Amino acid sequence: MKRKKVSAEIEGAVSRRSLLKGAMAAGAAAGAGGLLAACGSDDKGSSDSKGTVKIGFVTPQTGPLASFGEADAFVIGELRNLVANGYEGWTIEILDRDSESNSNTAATAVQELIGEGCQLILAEGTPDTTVPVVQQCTNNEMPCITNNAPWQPHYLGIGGQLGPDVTPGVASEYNYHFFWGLEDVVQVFLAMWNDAAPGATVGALWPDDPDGNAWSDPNVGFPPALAAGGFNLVDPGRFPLGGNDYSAQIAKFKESNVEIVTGVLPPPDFANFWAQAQQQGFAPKVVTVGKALLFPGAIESYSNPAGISTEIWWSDRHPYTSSLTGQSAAELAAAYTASTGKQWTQPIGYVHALFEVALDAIKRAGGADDKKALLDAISATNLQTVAGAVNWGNSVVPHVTKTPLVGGQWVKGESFPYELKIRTSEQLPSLTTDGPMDLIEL
Amino acid sequence: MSWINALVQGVLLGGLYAIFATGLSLAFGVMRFVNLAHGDLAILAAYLVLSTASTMGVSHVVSLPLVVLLMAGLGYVGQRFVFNRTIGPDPLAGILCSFGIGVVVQNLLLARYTATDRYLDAGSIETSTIRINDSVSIGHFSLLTFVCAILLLGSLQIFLSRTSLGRAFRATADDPATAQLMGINDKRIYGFAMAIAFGTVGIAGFFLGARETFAPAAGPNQLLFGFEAVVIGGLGSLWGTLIGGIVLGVAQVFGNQLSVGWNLLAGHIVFLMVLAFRPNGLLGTGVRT
Repeated sequence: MKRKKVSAEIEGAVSRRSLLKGAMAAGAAAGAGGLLAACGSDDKGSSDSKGTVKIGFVTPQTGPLASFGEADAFVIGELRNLVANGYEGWTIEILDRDSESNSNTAATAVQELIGEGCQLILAEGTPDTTVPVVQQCTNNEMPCITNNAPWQPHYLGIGGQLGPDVTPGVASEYNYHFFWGLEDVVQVFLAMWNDAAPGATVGALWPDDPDGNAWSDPNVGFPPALAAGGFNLVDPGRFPLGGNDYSAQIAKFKESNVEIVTGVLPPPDFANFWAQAQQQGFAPKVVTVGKALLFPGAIESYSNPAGISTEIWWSDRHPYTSSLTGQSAAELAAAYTASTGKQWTQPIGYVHALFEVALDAIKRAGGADDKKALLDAISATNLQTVAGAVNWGNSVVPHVTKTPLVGGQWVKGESFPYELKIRTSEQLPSLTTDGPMDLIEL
Repeated sequence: MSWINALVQGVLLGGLYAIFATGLSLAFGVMRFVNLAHGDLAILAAYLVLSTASTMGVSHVVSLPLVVLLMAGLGYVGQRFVFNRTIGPDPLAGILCSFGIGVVVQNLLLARYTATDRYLDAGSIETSTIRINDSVSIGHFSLLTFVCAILLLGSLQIFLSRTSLGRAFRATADDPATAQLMGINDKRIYGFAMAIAFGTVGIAGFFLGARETFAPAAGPNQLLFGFEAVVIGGLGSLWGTLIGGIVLGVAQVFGNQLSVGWNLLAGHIVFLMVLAFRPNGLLGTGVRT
């Protein structure tokens, strides 16, 4: 947990195996060999090096948000290989820390990373991770780049102000963020519904949490957009997460002939709702829910998940390539599957892009020793990454730039039980869709 | 009509709470032991079902009996070697010990299974349903949960009232000192009681895991509902636990009908009202100390 995850795994494997064989001497030799090899590569890198740059990386690798950090070991492993012999003359060290899906742990991790001499902090995986990291970085005047958190809760969380009479300012001098926002989810969901069931009645499952309150906001959330788009809205109201009963919502949806269900729910709550809907004979044509439908592991756990739809920020079909490795999105996803045996997930591209932006800025700043130069270089970023164009000259509020959001549907797959198909790509027309929305058949 | 459906769904939900609370009720009834690790143990059982099923190549349902036996063994060993050492005039030692075990179990599960959401597959029964009319339908799986709750609590009740081991349980619960004078080894009785309690946790873990997805940290969330069911029904009374589960389930679903924000709140209010007006619970006879 406190160590680099990859090396800890290797050490663990070595010690388990040597214990099994009972050959303690062999184990000690293997351990020492590993250490020597590590030192060797360090020396090689720094012999004609311009110096060492330490990058700290904070993500949720365990806990309820762990799906966001699931691909970290793979992405960081590939990057460590890539910069093993130095990057543009610098020796790059990547130190990763687990936030344990906990804001306090994330903040502590930043302090540790700064104590270990990190000159740039990267963080991703919902505002619960990015906000405490940015707060710590701001207090310690540490440059920090973040993503994988919708920009409004991130920006508001680090002290930004939004509102009809407010001119948004710089929330933190030290943070630069790239991702999409609530307005993009609204646009993508409506595009899919216009395709599948125009003018239908929409039933909402917006819980009593920051996401649910933002999505149901009468000014900037879904309600005004639904009214403008010609959809009726049935909103039974905010409810606490962790409850075991959705019969009231289901009854209201059935009464009002709801054909589209939307909401923003964590996987256990959606699993409960979806099973009860089927038990109680409620069969919507379209189910488009945020959060619960992002990751294939969760999809497989639901009863009859074929046809449910969600927002997509990255897929193996995105028309982008990495500025570091030249890999296309498809090649990156395939490398992940080859290395882990698992289906690609959306954070892979964004975690990779985070490091693309960081290394690009380090190159242009001439290292990371001059904090001002590094911040200026990040600010001047104009890079085509595997997650899209990142350019803070084109920002929605200061220090926040947006990447495109598309929408898609989970259908029965060939290589894996369920695969994600693109259904709408208005924000990224060069990404062709996989055909129109299928209606759910139960 | 929606209220009739709410009543039906509430009663069925109560079955789940009752199965979950059975082990808590038994451990408290026989040993006056408050097991804070109960929720984590249910999640442990759900993971054990996953692992045994994939090791033996059978379905989750088939591996359940084995997991119940495993959990029962764990309960016996845990009681004989750990919990029995905490028994004394001060109940705090046992509570703290079980709390610590809960933390350990959570972290072991995290290390072994990672935080990915998992689920148990009970087959098509999970979503198949008996349709009474347009607004009232009874899910097969919810009904199965409820029937299991009645069978489980009923057979435990018969065991306690009709068998000699059951009589030994009750005697030890009433007065351990006198029971010992009659030749009952109370430490062994406690071990058996905990074995049964853990076995029922295994069943609870299966129903929880098949109903929704679970992750290593999911246990404590359910613990509160289990405690509320035990307290509403009456400490130490098994039929009371069934009634308590049903009352809690119906309260939550009715609260949800009134306003979806009142779902959990309504359950907590009923719990507090029972504590205020019938502190021994609906069927409780009071705690002998």
